[in-house]
Amino acid sequence: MTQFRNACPRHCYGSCAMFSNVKGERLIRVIGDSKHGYTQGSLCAKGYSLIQYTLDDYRLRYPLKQLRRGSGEWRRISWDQAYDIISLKIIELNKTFGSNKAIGYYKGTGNIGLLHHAVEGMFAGLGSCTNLTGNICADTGIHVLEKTMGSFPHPDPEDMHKANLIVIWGGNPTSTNINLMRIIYKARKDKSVPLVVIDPVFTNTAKRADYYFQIEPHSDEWLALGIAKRLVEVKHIDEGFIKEHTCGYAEFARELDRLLIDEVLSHTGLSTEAFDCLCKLFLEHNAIACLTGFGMQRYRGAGKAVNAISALIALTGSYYTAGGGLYFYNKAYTDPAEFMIEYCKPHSTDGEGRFVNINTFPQEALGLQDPPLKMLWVSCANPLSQGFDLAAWYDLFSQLELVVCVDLYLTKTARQADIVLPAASFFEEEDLIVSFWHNWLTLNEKTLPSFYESKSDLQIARELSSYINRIKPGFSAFPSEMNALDWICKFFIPQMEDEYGFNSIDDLRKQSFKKIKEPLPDTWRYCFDSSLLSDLHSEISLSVCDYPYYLLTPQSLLKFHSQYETLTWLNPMQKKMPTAEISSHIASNQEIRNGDTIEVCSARGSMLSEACVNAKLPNNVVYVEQSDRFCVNNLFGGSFPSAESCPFFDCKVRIRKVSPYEQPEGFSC
Amino acid sequence: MNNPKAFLVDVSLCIGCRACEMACRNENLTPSHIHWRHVIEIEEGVFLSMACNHCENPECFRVCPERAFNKRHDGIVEINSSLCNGCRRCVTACPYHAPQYNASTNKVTRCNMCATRQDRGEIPACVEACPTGALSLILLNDSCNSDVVDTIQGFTDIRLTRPSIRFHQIKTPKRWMISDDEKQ
Repeated sequence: MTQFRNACPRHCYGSCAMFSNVKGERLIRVIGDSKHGYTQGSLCAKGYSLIQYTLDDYRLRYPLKQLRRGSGEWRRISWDQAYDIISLKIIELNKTFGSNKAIGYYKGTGNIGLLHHAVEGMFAGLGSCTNLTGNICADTGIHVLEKTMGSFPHPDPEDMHKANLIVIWGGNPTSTNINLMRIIYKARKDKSVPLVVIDPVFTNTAKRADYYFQIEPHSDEWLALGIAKRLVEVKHIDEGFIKEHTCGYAEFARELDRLLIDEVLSHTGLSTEAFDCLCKLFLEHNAIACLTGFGMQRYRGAGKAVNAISALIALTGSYYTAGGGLYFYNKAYTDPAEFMIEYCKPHSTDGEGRFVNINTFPQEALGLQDPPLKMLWVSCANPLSQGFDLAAWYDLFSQLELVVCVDLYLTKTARQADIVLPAASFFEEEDLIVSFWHNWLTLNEKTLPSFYESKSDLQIARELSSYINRIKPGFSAFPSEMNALDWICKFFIPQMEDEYGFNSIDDLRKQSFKKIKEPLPDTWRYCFDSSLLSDLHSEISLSVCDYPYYLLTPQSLLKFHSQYETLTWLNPMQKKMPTAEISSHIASNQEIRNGDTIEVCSARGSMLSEACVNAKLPNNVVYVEQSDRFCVNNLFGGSFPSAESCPFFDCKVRIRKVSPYEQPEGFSC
Repeated sequence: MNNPKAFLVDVSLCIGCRACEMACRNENLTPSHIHWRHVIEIEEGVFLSMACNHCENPECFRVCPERAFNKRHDGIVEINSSLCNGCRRCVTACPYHAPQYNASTNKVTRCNMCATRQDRGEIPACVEACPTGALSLILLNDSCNSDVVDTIQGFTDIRLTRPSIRFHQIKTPKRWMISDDEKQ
């Protein structure tokens, strides 16, 4: 038996470090690394199911070509045939349009390993093509906090237990960040620190809270500002902090004065007693740790809510306290993709290429002219299942001459591609995993031989780049001679060794490393944004219309968006239909019982589901899990402001009970 | 029996993450339809992670016509699969659904408290995996803590088999729901 060091590369809070035991080229066990400061040896349910993942029957084994897109007529081809088709198309498009701008890529966060930025590197190597910008998860919060908090200081989550109040706002760590619960419990055990959860959905985290406040969807900014108003009214604010470390307070307080608590109550749905209780918690504590989850950043204008919460935390003066502050997204590490792009791009580049935002990708890409987008490379992503505007995605695909999809599975997206290339799992490649949440970095060693003919993004980038250069010398500047260890040792380690305190790859083979963090500098300032309050009043309530209910589709426990769905340890496949949880209000109004078939319809689309009555949902909420098999995203769509993440939770739906007589054969979505 | 081993569950800490369930599979490689350990919600917001309780009076042991069960000195109940004839009497007799029948092998299997790990001095895989310390292993005669109780509301009657499982008392939190101003 041999043991290797690995790190989970999912776009998850944990970035768990683990060991893998291998016997006869098979993974026989994974074990959490107890020396990792954040995860301390615990893996999540998905992590402990990785044995199934490496050998999953549904995994792709060979490169495939689809005869007609969407037809399902697949032919196995060799890697050279695949490279040949792709190279010739790239060269042809370059010749037709005089640049590589007709060629674009959509690289998701299916694997956050640094070496997966080889995808961006490969396209940078072509010179001017259509590039990707933006952050799919965190844009809403990032853009707002850059205004109020500058390069915002992210506290170390391992210190969260030092706070004297912990607030989880629109997040569900029991499903998405289980190790944080250990830290929260430590605070509760050591110092009786209460856990407060604010969420429309009575999540498992809410079930474990000392105080749970259920609020209406989309009312987060009202609640944050309501509490802020109370703090200012009773003059229970940290005046020292406000004087020395903030700007714009006077105007912010003036604007707050115009806010009516009655409005706060009617928007949030909280009773006076509940609101008073919550205010009292904020009044009684001064080192408040507040996690703004991604759940409260999935509607149009949710930036205002993040903004308001950051202001509320500023009023309490928690930013300089031990454990206190706003926990959101650790942006500390300079974007490795940018480094890689800079390194790979040709010296004599013919212009900079152009950029498309990841959140508004299909709409923006459809609008591109001179030249229009003609070829798309999809990697680490499943946009035709997880995208926001699927109609726009299908429109975009129909104008493309070549779609290449690199994936482990025949996802909804892969099914619409011309060429599908089998991707390696993270056990079959070397990589470095840097967390977006805690401060640890872990080496991922190559543990298993390739699964059939699967390859890593880096290997594909190297081979395709040199293939193109064989046909047309000098076409790509991507350094295809560099293998994974070269990239890690010669490129990444020199950039990181000082920050993390290691010297060589041998150090990384022994343990994970934690970034040495500087405390928040004395010169840091928080800027109150009083325009927040003027915008607030212009909002119109959407409560009565043809689609009266909010459809919420947060991250579920046993899948990761559409990943891990085929693992039967986690998700037994007997289900014929997705489950839609409905409030008891909806159930009694429409005489729906558990197990009934219902149609969930939005203005964009509909899906059949099995009803499950959840008495703890707010009256106006329908709750459905994300999935690739039962894709719910065709109900979403519409425009939204740039610099925001997709407003998945803005979807309004109606529910129709389907009588057994009209049920169509099978299920289609 | 000297000082039998038992699982100690603090349902107030259990977050229902099911890491214990999958850690059990990772350790014992059980097929998908076999659940040696499973997490159930015994009432609203109360998760219970349960496997074989290695009872003091194991019904499986009593009803097995092949005498395939054995209770070790440390309290662990083991099954000798080579003796099992697949009659499934233990499956119906166990109040906790611990014995699991596998049709493809015509055998019953169940949690053995990671006996081989324990013999090596390690703790069971499920206990090691629990991120919050909701699941731990104790020696029954040592648990003199007044906070530890024999049963909690929603748990199957313990009088028949005297299961080797103990609980921490449940603490009730404050909740403010929109719909009915429910306060607990």
